[in-house]
Amino acid sequence: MTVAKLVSTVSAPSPWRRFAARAALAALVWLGLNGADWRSWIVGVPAATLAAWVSMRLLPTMTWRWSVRGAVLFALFFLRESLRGGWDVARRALAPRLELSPAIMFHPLRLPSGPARLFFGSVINLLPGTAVVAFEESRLCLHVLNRSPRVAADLRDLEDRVAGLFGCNLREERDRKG
Amino acid sequence: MIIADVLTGLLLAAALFFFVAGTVALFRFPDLYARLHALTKADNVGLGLAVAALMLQADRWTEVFKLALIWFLVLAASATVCFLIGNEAYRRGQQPWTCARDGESSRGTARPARPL
Repeated sequence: MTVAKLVSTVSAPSPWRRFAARAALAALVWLGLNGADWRSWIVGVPAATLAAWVSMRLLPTMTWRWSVRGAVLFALFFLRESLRGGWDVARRALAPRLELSPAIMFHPLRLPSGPARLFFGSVINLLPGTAVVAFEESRLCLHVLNRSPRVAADLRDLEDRVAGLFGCNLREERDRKG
Repeated sequence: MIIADVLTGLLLAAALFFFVAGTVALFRFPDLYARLHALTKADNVGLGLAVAALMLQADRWTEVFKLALIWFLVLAASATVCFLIGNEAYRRGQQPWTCARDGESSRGTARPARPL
């Protein structure tokens, strides 16, 4: 997750500095793709500039920051959970009897809307037994492979971690029962 | 380096296992939603393991970088496409397959879902 590391160093004072930082990031990717052949920059410089321009158009400001430590911890958590998710599917697929009890579940969202929520939704799709099928106003609608109370607890745990990663506060729910 | 080669072999074998399991799941799982799980989870782990195996064989750091970038982009695309397909099916009112009743048997008879 080197991208996360770089993102966290991008400060956001003036548009030009942001543009320069993103162009530098794009140039770094170009360097990674093409190695140290200097002639490649004939294409690389325009490409990086264009990438930075498109990025500024699509996402003018980044309102969040990831700490390096938070990103590394989350990456490790993500790798572990991915393996667990893959193993879970593999086990179910290869078992002589198909052990599935799928269901549609709702998860009340505590994350504020915006990038943190989108990130949460994307990560859910890669983790064990859960896939988002709809974003609603204040809750997520998910398809789960195996209905169990553990899924709800896992989702809350993941939401806590995403909130920690993005440094945002969770809206505490009142009079809601899981 | 013999250790790197052995590790590459092990990682590739593990990757193969996850790809095969993902494909089996694609055939065996009862409906669109469950199959989405098979594709997004097992295949991503399989790809991750294959990428890790190839990284050990890379001669230059740019190759490692490219492999990591491929994995990251596929993960991002996979999560997004999973949502788009699942969301479209849900919006059209496709009901997920469910077991006949909890607890007694997991074999369950399939309730016919409206085909996509």
